[in-house]
Amino acid sequence: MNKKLIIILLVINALLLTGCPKNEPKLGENTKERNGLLLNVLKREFFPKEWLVYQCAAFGTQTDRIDQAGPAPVVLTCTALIKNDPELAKSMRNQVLDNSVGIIDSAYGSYIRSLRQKRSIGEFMADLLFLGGSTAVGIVNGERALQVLGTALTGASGARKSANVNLFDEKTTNVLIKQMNASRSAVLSEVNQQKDKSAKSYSFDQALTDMIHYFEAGTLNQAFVDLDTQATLSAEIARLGVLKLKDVKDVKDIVSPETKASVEKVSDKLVELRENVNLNGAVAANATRINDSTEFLKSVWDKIVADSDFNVTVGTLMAYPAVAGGAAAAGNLTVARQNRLAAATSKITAGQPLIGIDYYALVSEAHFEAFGNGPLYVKVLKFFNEANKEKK
Amino acid sequence: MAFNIPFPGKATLKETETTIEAYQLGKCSNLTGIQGRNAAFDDNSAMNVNVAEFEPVDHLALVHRRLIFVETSQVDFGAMAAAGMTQLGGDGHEFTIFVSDKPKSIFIFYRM
Repeated sequence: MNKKLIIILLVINALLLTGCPKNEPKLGENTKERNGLLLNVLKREFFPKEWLVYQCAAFGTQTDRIDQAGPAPVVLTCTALIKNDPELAKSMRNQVLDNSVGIIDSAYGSYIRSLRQKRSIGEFMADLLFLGGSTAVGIVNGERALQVLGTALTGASGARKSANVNLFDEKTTNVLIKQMNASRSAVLSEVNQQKDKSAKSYSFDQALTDMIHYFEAGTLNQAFVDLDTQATLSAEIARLGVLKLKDVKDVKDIVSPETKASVEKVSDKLVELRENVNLNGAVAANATRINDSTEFLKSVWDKIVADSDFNVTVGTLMAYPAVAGGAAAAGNLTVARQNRLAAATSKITAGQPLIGIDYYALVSEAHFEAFGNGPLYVKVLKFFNEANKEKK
Repeated sequence: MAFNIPFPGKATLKETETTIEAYQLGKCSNLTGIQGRNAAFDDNSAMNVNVAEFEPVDHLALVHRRLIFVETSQVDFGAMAAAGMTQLGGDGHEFTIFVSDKPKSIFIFYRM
């Protein structure tokens, strides 16, 4: 009788605590074939018509078979209406994506409800069992009966702990669901970015593979892996210690989309100007290019010097000395850049005329100094635009 | 002569990639490494940052014009090789950075 009571208590407890967990939501019977065959299963079971239409629209032909094994597939004729139509292929692929997301979301929703419900009922019943057991210990007479209850409570407590450790990795349901939601959102966001791509650059198979990732992101297994990875990476970062900082600019303050386009344009121009003023050899043959580029750079430099907002920048550039052999450059410069700059500034100090490469050194370094300083950088861009207009 | 710049860890991977790509040109330097760090300010407020290390180069023609940041779980090495991209830090070198304030392991690819 006592043995029976212990066994019954333990079995009930274990069943309630595990909540009969499933590691993933159920899509259908054929998902058993998911190892290696899931892609074909999806085509065959979920989207057979879409797959055939997609083939016609994307390739102009269609086959009656989906997998690669077995005899050669029979090539079927496509109707002219859906043959070689890239837009139709793209829309068919996106339709499959939308439908898949709907199916997976629906399966995930019921999976989460079931997971939450079963586990909370299990935990509640377990608490009830412990409370009942503990109360019984206080009121039951007889040494043997107390011993039985004590053993049953210890066993139940062990089963509860074991269920939490082995089936849920000691994570609360909310933490697991939050992780699954975050992982699913990340995959879906990637998928949505692919939707504008043509069928050629983002194929039907790639879309279905992404849907498999989307499905997997909503499984307990993947949640455990993601949580474990994040914990490891967080520990790796924490090991480096806390960094003391004074200021961190927002990404948009460092480089807005407009700034990115401008910096690329100015950089291209500076590369071209450097090539022109740096021409070796046949100087006479390239005189026009050298002179035009020198004039351009001189125009920008004159504007920089004339603007009082650049006083600090110009002062910084003028203070760089030439680098003696073997010594390191100062600031964020290389030795070659610092020497190029020092050659130009020493000429300014000595009142000597500057040549193209001197102006290049001054203008490019002023540009690099101003980058990251919003208003100042905007002025540099303005000076470049004005010099361009003057040249025209 | 390398120098470090902190970038906000709340940025998405694409935002961090774009910002650093432009920063390289703006400062005539190439990215040589990046790591996520927990940062604290003088007023005791805290934030996650990605500290990027840059190495200045002699002129803009030497700056890597294209950078690709990709999560290690989503990398396609074949596509990267086909696009002529080189992996920063050597083959298989991973960087741990913050992406939307969450630590992630990424690969960085570049080309001129």
